[in-house]
Amino acid sequence: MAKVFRIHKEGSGNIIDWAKSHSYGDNVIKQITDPFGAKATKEITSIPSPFSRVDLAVTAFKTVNEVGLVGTSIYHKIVSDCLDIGEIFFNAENFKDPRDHSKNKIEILVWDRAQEIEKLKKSPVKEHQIVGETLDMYLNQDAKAYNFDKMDKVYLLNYKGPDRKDPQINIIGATSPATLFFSSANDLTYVSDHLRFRNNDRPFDSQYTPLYERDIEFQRFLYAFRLSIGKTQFASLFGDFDTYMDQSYGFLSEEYKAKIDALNEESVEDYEVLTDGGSNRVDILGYPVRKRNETGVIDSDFEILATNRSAIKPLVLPVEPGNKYKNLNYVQGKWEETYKAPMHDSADLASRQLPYVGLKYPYLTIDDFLARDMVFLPYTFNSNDFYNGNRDPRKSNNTFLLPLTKTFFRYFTVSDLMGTMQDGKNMFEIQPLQGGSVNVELRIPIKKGGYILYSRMYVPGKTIDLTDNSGCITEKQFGLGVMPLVKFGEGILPSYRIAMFSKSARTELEFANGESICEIEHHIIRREAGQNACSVESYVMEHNFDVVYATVDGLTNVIIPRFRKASGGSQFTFAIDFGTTNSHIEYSVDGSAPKAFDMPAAETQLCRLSTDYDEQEAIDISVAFDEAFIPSTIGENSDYHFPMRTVYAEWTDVNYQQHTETLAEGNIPFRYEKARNPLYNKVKTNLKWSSAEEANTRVKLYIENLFIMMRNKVLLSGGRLSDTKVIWFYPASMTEFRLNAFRGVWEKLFAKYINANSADKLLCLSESAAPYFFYKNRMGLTSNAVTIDVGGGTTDVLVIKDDVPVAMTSFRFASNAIFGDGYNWSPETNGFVKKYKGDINDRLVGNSMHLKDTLNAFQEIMNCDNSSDIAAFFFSLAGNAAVVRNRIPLDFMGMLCNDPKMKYVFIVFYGSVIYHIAKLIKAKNLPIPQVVAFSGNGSKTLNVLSPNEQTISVFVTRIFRKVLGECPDIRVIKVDEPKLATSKGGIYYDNSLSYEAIESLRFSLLGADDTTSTEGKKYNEVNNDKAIEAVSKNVSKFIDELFHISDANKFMVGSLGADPSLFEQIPELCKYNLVEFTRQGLKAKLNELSDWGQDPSAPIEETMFFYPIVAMLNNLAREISNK
Amino acid sequence: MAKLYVFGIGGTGSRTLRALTMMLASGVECKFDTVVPVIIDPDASAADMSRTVDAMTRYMEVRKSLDFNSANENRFFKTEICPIQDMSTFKLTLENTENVTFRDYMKTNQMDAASKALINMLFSQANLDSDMVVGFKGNPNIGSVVLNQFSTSDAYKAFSNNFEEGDRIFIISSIFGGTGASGFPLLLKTLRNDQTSQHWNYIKNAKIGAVTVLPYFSVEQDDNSGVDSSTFYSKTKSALAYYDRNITGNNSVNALYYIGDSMPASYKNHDGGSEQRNDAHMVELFAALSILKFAATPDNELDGKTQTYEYGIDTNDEDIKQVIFKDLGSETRRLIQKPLSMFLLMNKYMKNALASQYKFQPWAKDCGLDENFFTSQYYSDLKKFQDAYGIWLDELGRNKRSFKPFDEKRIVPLFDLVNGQKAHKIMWPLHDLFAKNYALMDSFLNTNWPKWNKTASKEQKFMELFYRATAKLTSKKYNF
Repeated sequence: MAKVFRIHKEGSGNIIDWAKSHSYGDNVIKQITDPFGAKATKEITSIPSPFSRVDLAVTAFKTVNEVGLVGTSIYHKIVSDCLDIGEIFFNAENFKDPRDHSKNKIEILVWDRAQEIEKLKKSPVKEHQIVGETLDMYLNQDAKAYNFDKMDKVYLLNYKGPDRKDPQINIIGATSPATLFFSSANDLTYVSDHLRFRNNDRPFDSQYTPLYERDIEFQRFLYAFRLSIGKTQFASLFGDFDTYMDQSYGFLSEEYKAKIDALNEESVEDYEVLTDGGSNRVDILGYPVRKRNETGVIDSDFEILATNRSAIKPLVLPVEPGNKYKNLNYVQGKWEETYKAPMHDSADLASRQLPYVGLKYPYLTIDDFLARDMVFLPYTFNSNDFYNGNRDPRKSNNTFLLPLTKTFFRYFTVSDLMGTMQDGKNMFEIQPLQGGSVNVELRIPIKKGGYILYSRMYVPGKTIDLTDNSGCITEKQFGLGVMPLVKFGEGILPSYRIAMFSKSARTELEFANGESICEIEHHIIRREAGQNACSVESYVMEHNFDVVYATVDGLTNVIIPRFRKASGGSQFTFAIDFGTTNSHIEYSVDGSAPKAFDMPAAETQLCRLSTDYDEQEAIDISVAFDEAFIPSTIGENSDYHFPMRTVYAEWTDVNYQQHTETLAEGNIPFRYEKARNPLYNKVKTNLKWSSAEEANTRVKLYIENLFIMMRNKVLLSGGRLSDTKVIWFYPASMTEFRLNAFRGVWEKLFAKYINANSADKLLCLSESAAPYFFYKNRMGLTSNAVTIDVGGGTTDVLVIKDDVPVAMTSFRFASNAIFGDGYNWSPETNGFVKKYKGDINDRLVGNSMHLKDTLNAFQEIMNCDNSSDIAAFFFSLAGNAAVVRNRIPLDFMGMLCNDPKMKYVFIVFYGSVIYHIAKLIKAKNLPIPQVVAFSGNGSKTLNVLSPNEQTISVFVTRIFRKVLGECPDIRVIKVDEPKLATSKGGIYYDNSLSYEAIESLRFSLLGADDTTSTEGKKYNEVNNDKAIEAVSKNVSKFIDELFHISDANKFMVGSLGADPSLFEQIPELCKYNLVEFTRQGLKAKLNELSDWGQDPSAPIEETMFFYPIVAMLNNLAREISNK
Repeated sequence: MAKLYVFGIGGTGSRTLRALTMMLASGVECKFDTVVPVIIDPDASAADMSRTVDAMTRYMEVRKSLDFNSANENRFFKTEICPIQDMSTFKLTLENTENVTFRDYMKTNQMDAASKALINMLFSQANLDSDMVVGFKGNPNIGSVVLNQFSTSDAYKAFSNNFEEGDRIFIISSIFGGTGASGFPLLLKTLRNDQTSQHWNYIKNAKIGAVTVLPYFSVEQDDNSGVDSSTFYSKTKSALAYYDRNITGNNSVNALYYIGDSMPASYKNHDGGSEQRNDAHMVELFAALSILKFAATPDNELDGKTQTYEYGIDTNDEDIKQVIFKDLGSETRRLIQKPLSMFLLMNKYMKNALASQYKFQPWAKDCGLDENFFTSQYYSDLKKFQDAYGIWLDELGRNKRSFKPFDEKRIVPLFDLVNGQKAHKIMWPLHDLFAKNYALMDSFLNTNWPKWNKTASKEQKFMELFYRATAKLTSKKYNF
């Protein structure tokens, strides 16, 4: 036996002297027993090659394959580190922040062999040349052992996360041509805490984890990668790694083995190719390295149990440590007691990394659901109409906005929010606390069952720190209203108006239906928020929405309206009398008796977020609702009711060249005549006959406003839109051209707001005929009758013979002829205004403690340069709620009744109308009416003539007799609310009188004599001195005859109460300047035609008889007022 | 005349060259007439290297006064040791390795990002921050880069330009350290790969042998030191695997000699420098023997696959503490026991007798070896060399394991010098007095030598006399 100088045990014992022996290969190396027990802790550096790390990894795998996969030796460490590097490559995307690359924890660098070697060799630095030569030499000479000959590139992992050692380069590992991956020799424990794997494993720690204990997805990828290369080819390239994989497989559970068994050559395609972030595909010897397939690979109890989502389900993670969630499966391990997710994660969902495991997978935390700021408004909350967060109203009745985020609604619906968890707890709760703080609890259900509880206290003045759970509650002031609070059903175009009146300049609303943000159709700020007043804003929405995001001064909270579901089968009929001065709507439900449009408290159309804005500080908000939108109630017990002034308020900056919306740029000003018009609005009257270019738009907007109100009423009171009927009226004196435009407006609005498929339910009726249906149905009109509807602008007449309408006429001569300004004369010269303004002013001022608003309105209207408006205001005072409430004597009608001088104006007015009708009956040889029925708001002034119907009957009869000679007594009937007759008639309208039928009855005397009709005549044919003189003469004759009815003096002075001293002067005053007045009337008509784009060859559609009388009355009133 | 270039890399390289020098000085046969040692060690101040260089320098000094024509029997200093032609030093100097870290040496900060990243992947921060002034502290991966500059050095160029067909190369390195471990594969790759010299083809195809010294000593644990002998084994295993793949694996070396010892000697922990001075160890002696073995192996036995060798001694005692000539294999014994013994006898004489005898002894007087001679530079060099030889033997003997063929400190009885070997009694005609101790040596020196070159130089004559005398003495006394 010999002693051989060697360090391994076995082998030939016969070696003496230098003798041939076996080369030291694996067998020998295996037999070398380390006297230090292979407990070496220092990294091995004795490989005489710059690529020693590559070699060491090979040795490590080889050694581990021999001694067993589990162990604590340096080789086990190296193997574990290599696998860690592989797993980091596999998870590389998880360690990146796609939004902010500077926050990437990992960067993949590429070393291009040919290029870099060349650079080094050609470097002017000698040492670089040496490095280059050396690397090149080893790569060439050691090619066989490490597949260097097949390697073009090395991909390196550069760690850039927290605790990095160097600002730029912290290489932790790389791809290896021999063992797939290899690790750096450095102590990499500083990385451990920042790169967690899916199963909570930490790379580079002292737990050397064998492959089979690693994330199964990573394992699956490795086996798939091997198959994609081919098992044999893989084994020849990466022999030790291959053996390692084979051994590791043996330790897998049956479940995991099955997963591996199921793989085939294509399975690797389940994973996307990893890139270095640029154009380089990471590869090992040309075989692409893949990355984790993020979809559907996680199975965690924390997965959100969402209503809205089906694809990726993020985890919902608790933010408080404790044992509440400790038994839940987190990723590939349990959620630990000490775990808590960060309160806030600024990464977007897709690039988030799960805490503790470092895995890129979406998760949600408290800040995703709960805002940091909460807003409250110091007004009583309207819990009926808005969701109050399940709070106890006894603790605080302030209006709290909900500090929820958009993210919440990505996963849950509003009904989820309002609902409860399985254990009966509310999903969401607001708990006001003493001292102004509020606690909010939100429960997010998770897959496992149960929920994650997020709780946050909002403290006034709290400074927000994203690292703790601080929340701040802040007072803001704004008013908000939603109109209507109805969810629109299928096939119905939603239409909402949202009112916003904010004291903060930076206020913004967003609307969402579930998670999708709805397009805002229109948003108008008529007044910006200022120091003294709230903003006035409207949002027009044509989408159903269920969430409102309110952002005030940068703080965004949520408002949830409690929309009602519109359901019901009632049939509604509306009749809209769009009048010159006043408009009215009657409606009937299921055939019931018609009644004036109303909006009782139960049907409030614009639901306000808070109920008590009328505190001193918020009066501007309270008023703005009425000013810019709609009052809470209309009708009985309300300050507002129909009929109402035909008036439209529009934004001072409105531009009708652009798209405009009603209840946005403008609205029906319910407070008109009751209070000062707000500065942001200007008020437009005389809509019906205005010929300005924008008038059509304004009319449309006005009527649209009415439509919205009607529609909302149907929806809110159990009606069915598709059954809803709408009747509108047109004055017979309207030109056909204009009528068609008018019709278009109604049809369009009907289609949009009521029903696009039931045009047959939109009916139109002549204003002349409408009262007939009222009187016929309600007053038992006898067989021969005349109905006279006196409006603000037109008077419409229908002659009925044997219950059948036989003639119809209409003329632009109505109450505006009494109270207006003639042919554009100044209100200062208007007799009524002149005479009464001082008195009315005195009475308003004298009662200003009650009538402050009204006084303001008065002053404003007085400045408007329109006598009709002023007169309308005078008339409105008697019905003004404040006047009525305080029993203040402000009855303009009463004043007029008691004014014997002005009485002559009304005598001439009504006289001319009756006289003209009598002439028409005579000319057409129609039967003398037994009854003359008055309607229309203008006919209210019949009361000025006489409150006694009998007296008026006498007046009418005498005029008829004057014209016709013999004539039986004619009975006059009138109603208390004559305005309503048209609308009510519309409700009763049975569709029996078509437009064409009515039109066929049209007949007008030209006005120049007793017989000539307008038929076939054109304006240019009468635009001459002869015709004008004929008309003026005819009128002059009328004056003579009026004042020569039988017992004229006695009747007018005695029965009507006219001033006897003026009786003789009046006819002369009336005859003043008649030719000129006639000419002005014709000119005005021609101008109007021209404004509407018609030339003077248009057919004459009304009598010229009243042309001079318009001016005559104005002149008469002025003259009388001077007396 | 073929040359054997012997590259001694790192501390083990120097120590093995020291052993070789001692053996060649004693006349151990080398089949190559000329040995050209090249020391590669960035640790310029390493004590082991200095001692070796000193010894070789003295060897050359001594030898230059000698000639080895056929008239002379002397084999002391027979084999020529010389630096590479045109070079004045045995050391292959490395540039820019002083006071510089590996990182700064490579000037990584001037590299582009990709190269910088790769360097940071291949080398640890500790690697990059290590100061290379004392070698590579057991980090041959660093050495593999830094040492590569030798291929551009003047010495290497001179070597490669002078290399001739038939010349051989031998490389000594340890596997568990830094310098040697890295230098060996690097040198080997360069030799096989470099095509910049005129004679690259000769080098590429030259017979190259190498001895890989596996662990045979350990250093005391010192946490502040870059050297940790607890890693020697793991490093060795890794490196062996590397060799298996890339040295023997690709047959780039013709003969590879493995040697190590499983009962390691423990040395003081020095990273390097002047304090790194380890006692000579028999493993280095055996390593040096591998050079001679290689030199003696015919070309045809070195073709094809790498020949690998191990070294054994002839004993049943695995745990043998002290090795003497008798424990060695017969081949080794034959090769070294006589020359070493002869040279030691000379050493003994010079040390213990010469000063008192040379004025009276005929061998000196006849040759004119007077005071002038014994105070000459030549004699001084020789004396110093012999002193070094004595120290070397002493170190071998006191090391663990100990190689102690001689009781070299014994003055008298002189011939009880060889341990385990009883000296024969020699009958001497005149007087028993002349047959004992140093007198016996004088007697042999005074022998009337045949074929004696009367005209040789004094230096030559002195050496010749002692060679002949000790040869005969060892033959008579020990049958060597």
